[in-house]
Amino acid sequence: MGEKQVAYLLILPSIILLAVFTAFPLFFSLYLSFFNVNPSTTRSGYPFIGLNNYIQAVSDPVFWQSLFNTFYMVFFLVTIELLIGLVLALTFTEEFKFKNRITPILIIPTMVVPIAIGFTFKLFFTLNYGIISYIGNWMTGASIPWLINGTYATWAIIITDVWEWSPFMFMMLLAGMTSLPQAVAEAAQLDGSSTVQTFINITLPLLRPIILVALLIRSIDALKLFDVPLMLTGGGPGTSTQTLTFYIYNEQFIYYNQGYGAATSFLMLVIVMVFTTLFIRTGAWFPGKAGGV
Amino acid sequence: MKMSEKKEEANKISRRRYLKYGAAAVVVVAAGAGGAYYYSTIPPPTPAPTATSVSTVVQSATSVSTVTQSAGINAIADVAVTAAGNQYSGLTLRALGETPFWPSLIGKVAPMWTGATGMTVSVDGVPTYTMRDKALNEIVAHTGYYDIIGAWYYALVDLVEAGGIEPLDPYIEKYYPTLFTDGPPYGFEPMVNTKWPGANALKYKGSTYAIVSDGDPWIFYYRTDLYGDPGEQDAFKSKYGYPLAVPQDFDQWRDQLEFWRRKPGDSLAGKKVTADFYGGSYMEARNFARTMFEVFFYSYGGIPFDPDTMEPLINGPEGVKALNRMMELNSFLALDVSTYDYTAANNQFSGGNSASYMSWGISGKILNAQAFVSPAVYGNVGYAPVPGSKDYTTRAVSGMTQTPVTINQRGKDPIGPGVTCLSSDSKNKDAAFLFMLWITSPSISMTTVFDPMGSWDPNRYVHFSSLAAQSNFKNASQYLQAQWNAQTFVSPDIAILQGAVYEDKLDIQVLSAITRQKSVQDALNQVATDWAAITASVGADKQKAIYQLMYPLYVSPVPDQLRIAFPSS
Repeated sequence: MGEKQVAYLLILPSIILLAVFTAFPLFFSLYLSFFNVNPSTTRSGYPFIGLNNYIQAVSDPVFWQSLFNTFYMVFFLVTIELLIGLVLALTFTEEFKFKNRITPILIIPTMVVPIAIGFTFKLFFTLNYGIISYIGNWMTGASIPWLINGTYATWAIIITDVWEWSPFMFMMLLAGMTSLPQAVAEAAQLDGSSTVQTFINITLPLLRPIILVALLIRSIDALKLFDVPLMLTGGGPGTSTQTLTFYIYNEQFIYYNQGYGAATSFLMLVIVMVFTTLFIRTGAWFPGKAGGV
Repeated sequence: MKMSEKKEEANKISRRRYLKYGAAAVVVVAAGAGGAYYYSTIPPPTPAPTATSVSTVVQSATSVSTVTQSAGINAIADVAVTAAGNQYSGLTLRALGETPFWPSLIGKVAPMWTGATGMTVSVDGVPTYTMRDKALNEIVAHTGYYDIIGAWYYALVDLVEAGGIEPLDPYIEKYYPTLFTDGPPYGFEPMVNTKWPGANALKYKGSTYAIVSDGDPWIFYYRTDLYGDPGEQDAFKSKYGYPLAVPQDFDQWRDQLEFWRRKPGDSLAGKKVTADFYGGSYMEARNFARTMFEVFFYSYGGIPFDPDTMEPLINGPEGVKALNRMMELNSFLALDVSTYDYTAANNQFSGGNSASYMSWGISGKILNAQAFVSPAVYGNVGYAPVPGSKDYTTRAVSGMTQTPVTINQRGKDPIGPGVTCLSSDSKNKDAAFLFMLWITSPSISMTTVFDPMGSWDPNRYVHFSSLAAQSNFKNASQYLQAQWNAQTFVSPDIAILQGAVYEDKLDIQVLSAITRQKSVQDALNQVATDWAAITASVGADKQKAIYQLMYPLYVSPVPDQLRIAFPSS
């Protein structure tokens, strides 16, 4: 057996796994999206309806609201997580007492099951006995309708997600910062650059690739936001905190409208691909200063 | 070597130590997981029956003749046991039902079945509003894992159309032909017949697909000590000009919600309240809001669809009136009432923080289990039908004119019973049907419907008439009367194809309105749009064929021939 054949043989299991668990479901979903697949059409054999599912999706105001909710939440939570991660990373590049003990504690939120986080924060936001409600009421003197009002409920989800995923940003940025060459920053400081100037003109530009990767990974993940809205608000009140993934979940698994769910899944795939492409291109365009080098 | 380098060197861990600590950590985690698994497999202790009468009812299931003075109550159970014999000994039947109630209920009575037939029964519980989806998953995949499927009646036609539910007629004919035609004292009470007027219970396209296991009407619960307090009665009468009593209509209900609202430090029945006290605890969270809305909607004469065209009528004047009324009453309730699910609402009432509560019949049992309620509430719960409307729209649709409802008519009860079905993919259909027959039989169901942890509500004459039932707990007779009344004046859940989807779309928009994300009219218009889209997708003719059977229930009280007086013991 030649070298080429051996190579193909070695990658064959991976190809089979990809074909069975990725390619087949993907193409079968695409196929389903052109049919009316729900329990009431089982006996009539799932009639072919062409692009009707896609047309129905783009005509549904709830679909667009879910999309808007998703991007609104993603924008704010990723931004806040980046800022918190950056501040923590900057702090933890310096040596201080108990640093090695505190670091593992800080990353615990990313290890907790998201459903448990959602449930716990739901208790925190409960009007009468939640700790966050209590603090909010004490600070503002008024009852904050966290889970009752659409805007507040959205921010409750953002706060919960920030708590959960800021450590991820922290870890990514800390790893990036500790791998940066110290000589450049030291040289700038010897030349009289202040800490802030060093950070803005040296550290940040050098950190740019890491930040972009962290933002990209986190954004793609956040676009699939589901478990926290599920536990915290159920997509409510009404549909004010319903994300696109939640919308698809409802259609696919609660309403059992599988053809329509498949169509909306593909629409979401297209949206995420467009977003990712734009993001990468924008990141490539972003002017970077190579720290004086 | 610098100090920092020496410190770093000292902090470095040798490979051997690292492996040692790592192995120790793995052992500790494994031991902890093993211990947790072991303790999780230890069955929980059986709760001691309350002093009232659960033990009496449990005993009565095995020695019924001492309670009912008749051997007839055992007839169906005996048929099931005899037919099963020992031929299925060793077989395990699998059932899918509502958590935690089905596993609890069936777990309590299944040992009797095992003892009699050698069959064991394993129950998987899933959350209430995922039962349909779980069942559909199993049906679509044809797993055949479950022999018995518990369902809500509004999901039944979906399960049938998906090909997952076996027609029961051959089995009924074979084992107990009069199952649905038996009258008093042991047959199914009229509620079963009112769900599908003009046909035997739970028929679809001419076949019977389920046996009712749970009546599931809504009841109005109230604090008898507060309503009966002389000081509160005087205060109410002087403020509102009429005696304080269980509200009959929405105006009285509104007055009482306003009246009972007390802040910390206020007086309530001669005592100072220490926490916010409300006139009512109601469920308005997702999956529950639409049932609250339907109390108002149907009582105002609302009809979901035009029976000739299937045009949604939910956004008509009755719907707008109903939702506005609901929001008006909400202004006297807790600010976060839109987050109250069953547990939260039940806890607010059972914790002594509200004067009234509306819920399914299960709460009547829970509220009389001493372990589940505060001392102030225990023994002080009264029961009544839900309030109704003085302002009932009459409508002539499809040639059927509605019958106006007078003030003496109670609210139309939104209702959707729980049912037990036989899976088409079951490999043990006869055995499974015999278990279904047995567990819903008069004698065995006397245990299940009165279990405090059971969600099954009375659905047979004997549940209402038996002396044991009527003395089950304080005011049990009033509880049963309220259930009986509720079940004879109903508007059923939207039990057409994709009924669960229609109801969920309504739920979402009701919540949008009560949390002021949308105006009332906009919210209901969206419901109408969503409903029209579902109907178009399913096929209006298909929906009409089912809906027209249910339609008479929406337009009038139960016809006289189906009204039967409350059975006396």
